[in-house]
Amino acid sequence: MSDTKSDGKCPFTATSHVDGISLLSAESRACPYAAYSQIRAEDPVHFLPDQNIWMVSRYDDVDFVLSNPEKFTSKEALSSGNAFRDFPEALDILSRSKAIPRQRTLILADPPVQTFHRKVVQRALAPGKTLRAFGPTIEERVNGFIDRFVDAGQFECVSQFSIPLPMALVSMIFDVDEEQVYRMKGWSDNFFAALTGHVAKQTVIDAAVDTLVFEEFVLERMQKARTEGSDCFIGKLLDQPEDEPPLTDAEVINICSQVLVGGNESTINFISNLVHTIATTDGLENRLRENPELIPNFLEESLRHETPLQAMYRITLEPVQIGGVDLPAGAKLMLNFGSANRDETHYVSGEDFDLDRDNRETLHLAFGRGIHACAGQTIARREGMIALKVLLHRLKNLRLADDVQPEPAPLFGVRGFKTLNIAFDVNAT
Amino acid sequence: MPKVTVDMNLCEYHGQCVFVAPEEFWFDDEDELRYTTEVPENARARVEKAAKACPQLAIKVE
Repeated sequence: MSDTKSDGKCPFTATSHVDGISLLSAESRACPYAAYSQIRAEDPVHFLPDQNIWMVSRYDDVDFVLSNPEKFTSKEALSSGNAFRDFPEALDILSRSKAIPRQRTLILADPPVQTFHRKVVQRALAPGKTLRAFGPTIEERVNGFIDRFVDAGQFECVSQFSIPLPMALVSMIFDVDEEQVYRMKGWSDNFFAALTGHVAKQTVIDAAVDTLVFEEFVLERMQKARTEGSDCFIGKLLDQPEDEPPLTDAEVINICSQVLVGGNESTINFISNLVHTIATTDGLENRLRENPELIPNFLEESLRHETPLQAMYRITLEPVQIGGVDLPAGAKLMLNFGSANRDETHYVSGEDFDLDRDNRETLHLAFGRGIHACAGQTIARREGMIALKVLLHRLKNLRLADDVQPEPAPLFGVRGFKTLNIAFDVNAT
Repeated sequence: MPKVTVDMNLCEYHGQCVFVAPEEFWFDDEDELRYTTEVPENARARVEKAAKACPQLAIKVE
């Protein structure tokens, strides 16, 4: 079943030759799926010269890399390059950091260091416990967001819904007020933009400045947690059993920045994508409202079809063969989840959104897999669940607003929206 | 018959196993994870998928 209404989002055209493909072109950035599909068909492990990177496009090959962390280092997992490295001014700012040497943790580290970080983060983040504690409050807050525009018949989904929801959760996790959480979001936006690369110099410099401000914030909270005790994420991180090596300041800072970035950008786009699909797919809204048991599969299908974070990166540690292609040690790989999640060798009509697709059969790779699988995925899913539950209960006949076209997320490798104006029926609420 | 074990020191209640294999894994009234320790051969593929889906790699199927 392919029932997506025309949303003017994705002109599906093929380029004549696979070697001519650039994911950085305006066309690919607006919609990369034609390029992905051509790469999968003609050269599944494809070298992209303009990014100096091998794109791994097929599901099985991406799965292979994720499942063999001893062959592929994750130390540059978040970036196709390193934006800071190209800007001496930014490096100069970073040299004033109090957390030198910088410490790679979690997704930017490999076992056994990563194994340890993962353990302490899981303990501090405790998704199950966190959601039990915060879930009801989040639902209340989401109702509050909707109260603000329920009489208007229209809202800008990103700023009025998709952003406030994860921000509410981040504020609870870090135990900060609303003003502070939006300051943190500003930092996170700049970190993330600098990480994805291909952004303006000023953004990279802002990110370097924010890195130092963020360090101060974390160090201050650590100090407070050590002297007064604290129940927030940072306090819990520091609450280590005696037989464990204590985390260094630099480790805590790096962990916190990953949790901050991970807890917002991709979740924001995930929520916007859910709302966009409902607003542009005939009959979907009523089906979900009448059959709420379909919502979990809708979340998975959305994550598969419009994977918010399209790719992560690895570097080969030894000569290795992927999908029949011989790669030397030191080759940089783009694990393209967005492409793998539509791979025709794993999915029937993978390019189509289909609520009736059984996503338990072929598990998508939107959160990665294996030792680096997203630590916050349960929290993200619950946020999506709460968003839909409240939205479907309160608003009816969601559709794109006539007067303003949705604006896609501008950063490379991100699927989501910068703005998404949604209209609904006022008298029905 | 395939034997299933979940390392509860690793389990973080992500619930992906419950999504993938609801007949073998479920949450009880107290939100604790429960699972079938011995499953029929025809459920092997499903529990192996659940093991793969687990973000904690906490599930072993033998």
